[in-house]
Amino acid sequence: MGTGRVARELAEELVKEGFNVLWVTRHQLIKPENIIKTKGRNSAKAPNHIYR
Amino acid sequence: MRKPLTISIDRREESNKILEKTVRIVDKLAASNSNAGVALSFKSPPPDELLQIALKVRRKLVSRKEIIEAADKHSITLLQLRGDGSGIIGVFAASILASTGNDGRILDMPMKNIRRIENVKLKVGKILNLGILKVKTISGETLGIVRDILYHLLRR
Repeated sequence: MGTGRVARELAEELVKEGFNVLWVTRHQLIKPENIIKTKGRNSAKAPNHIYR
Repeated sequence: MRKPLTISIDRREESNKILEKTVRIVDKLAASNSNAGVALSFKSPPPDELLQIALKVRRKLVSRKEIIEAADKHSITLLQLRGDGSGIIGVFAASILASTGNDGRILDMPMKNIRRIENVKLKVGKILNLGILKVKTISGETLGIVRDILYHLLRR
């Protein structure tokens, strides 16, 4: 399960327990070079050797 | 380190219950090959020392040792649930950045049902009524309250 789904399920669980959940936010941090995006529109630009 | 998520809660009582529930759900649902971790911070606004470290994480790689030392010093709970341990760096930084109240992209507001608005077209004013300060386009233009938004164009 993706990170967003995990966080939203947790948030809903906390709401059910009576906690006042303000929001769920995603934060952009530095991305190491060894992490290749595979889902975006520019995924075709990922180096081919990663998949060979 | 990809894009860690934070959940903001407006009270600090029952922190053990929050932590227990968070660990149980993340451990159950996170992908087996992930670097899942959990950080629990009650510093809002955060001390400048922590903010500087979090901002550094956004720009460059920071060692796990530095993160653990800062977390220990300021009583921030860090738990690594999967992977090689690098996940705690991201969750630490995200928890500090979120506690500034001015960072990140809102994915959900569970109490306001923001993800369940059903109209295909809605006014910016309706979103502002949920408690959001501003609505901007991806290019940074702030939209006025009478502007219409097509729902499928909202980034979620």
